[in-house]
Amino acid sequence: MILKSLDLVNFRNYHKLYWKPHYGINVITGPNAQGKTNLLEAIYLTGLGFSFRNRDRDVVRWGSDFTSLNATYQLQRSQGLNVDVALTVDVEGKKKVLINGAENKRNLLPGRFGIVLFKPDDLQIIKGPPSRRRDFIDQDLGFIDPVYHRLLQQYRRVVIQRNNLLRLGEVHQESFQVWNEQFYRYGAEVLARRFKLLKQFFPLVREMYRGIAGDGEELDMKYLSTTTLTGVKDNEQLLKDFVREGKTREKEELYKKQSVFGPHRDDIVFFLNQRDVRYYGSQGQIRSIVLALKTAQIRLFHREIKEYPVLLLDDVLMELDEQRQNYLMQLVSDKIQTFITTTTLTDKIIRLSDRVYFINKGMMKEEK
Amino acid sequence: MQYAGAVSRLIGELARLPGIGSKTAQRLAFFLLNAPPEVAENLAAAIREARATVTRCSVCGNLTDIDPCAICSDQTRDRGVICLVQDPRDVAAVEKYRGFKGVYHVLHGALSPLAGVGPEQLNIKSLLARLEGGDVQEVILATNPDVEGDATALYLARLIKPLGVRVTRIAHGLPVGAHLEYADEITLGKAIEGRREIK
Repeated sequence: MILKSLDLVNFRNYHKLYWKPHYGINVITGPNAQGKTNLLEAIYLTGLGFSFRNRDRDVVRWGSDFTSLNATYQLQRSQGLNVDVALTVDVEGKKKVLINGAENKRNLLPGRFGIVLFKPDDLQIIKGPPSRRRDFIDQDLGFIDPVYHRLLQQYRRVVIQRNNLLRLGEVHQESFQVWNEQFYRYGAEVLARRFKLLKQFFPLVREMYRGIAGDGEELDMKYLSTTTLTGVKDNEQLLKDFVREGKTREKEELYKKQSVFGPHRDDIVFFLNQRDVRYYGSQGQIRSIVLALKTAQIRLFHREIKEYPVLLLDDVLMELDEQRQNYLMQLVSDKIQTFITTTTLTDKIIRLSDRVYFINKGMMKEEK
Repeated sequence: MQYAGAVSRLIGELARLPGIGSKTAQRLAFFLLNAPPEVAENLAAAIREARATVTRCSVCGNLTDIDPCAICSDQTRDRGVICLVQDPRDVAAVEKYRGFKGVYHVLHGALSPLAGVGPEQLNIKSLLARLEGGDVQEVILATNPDVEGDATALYLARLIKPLGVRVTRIAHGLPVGAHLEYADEITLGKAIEGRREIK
């Protein structure tokens, strides 16, 4: 997928901008707080329909009533089919999205062909709470499997209902059974789909990490389930495991008044040479793992959807050492449209890039 | 904004209606105040009358102004088949199809611990009373195909099956006239799961 043009009106600190980025590597540079990340946000927003920063209404330029973004994406598939996205947000946060001129077609947003964003705070995927890792699987990877997405929504709904029942204390036996069954059924299905996804994903992450860090370090990942799982993981077996877990933990759940096991509580642990990265990993190692996750995500997208995602690197490239920079650049060259924001330009980056744009107070100047 | 006491009370009452925000409530209030007096009086009378005469049918629970309701007292309908729905609106929806000749039972909701709805809050007791007569051969569970509707269907199936009554669930799948390529994956999955042999 390629972003062919972006047209912004009253977006963040941009009054007006019409931009035709290069299909290769685009470097966006300039001092702090001039609007570099805002451009990545605009790409993300037109691709996926929501922002990676706080509330949607904050994107409206100060003093304006609304903002409008127009983007044209080209898909590699279908002989370069164009997708036009027109998105408006007003100061009250009301959002309207038109895809090829039609409303309510959000499932056709080009972002489902992949927008991969790497931002400084992504190091929290490794170091942060388990929810960060689940969000990475559920949201970033989950896009590949739309059924997974829907199942997850239904599963979450069941968990909310079941937790409420547990909170009420006086659990009505028959209706509790009904919610239990829904909980087991959806829980096992979500877990089965998640395993399928991770089974494809983990080997890719390992491979990417080897490429990034060389042969000296062996990365390993382990899925840490709150459900006791037995051996072969076909759907039937998962459901049985789930039911058994439910029976043994019923007392605990009644006491704690919440659902204490299931995919909404699970976690992933990363090991480097058998040592838990959360405690023993250096900054550089953690950064490399996140880089491996993101590049593996690109690979997975391409393998499953036959389309290369757009890659957004927000202020992370200069944090990598030269070997890792080279690796990343080699990976994206010729295939993946990339947007890189950085405050410091080096000769090497200028050499590797196809275009350099200089941003100053919401204005853009092409430098290369 | 400050209005005379009676005006702001009217706006306040209108704003309590579902789907009506404060702006729409203001518009409605000013319409009623500016229109000829009969408009407002007719509306008030209609509300008062509906409120006074409409009750739940003692048999099926549907909203009606005669008891039992028109469907329950219709001798041509098959009392052997009960279509169970969440809401009186669902009765109207199934009736539109005209092909269903059985009778209904309205639950007035679905199991939802979040909304404080358990089996006691639903119109289930009178359903069991209907089934005890022994005339009912089949109950069609036509609750919504969402998490709450499915839980309700499951709960009722457990309750009804031991009474020796056939329990069925409405099919999920593709809407008529739909193109396969536009169907979402879950719906398509359900449609394939529930496929039938062509005879």
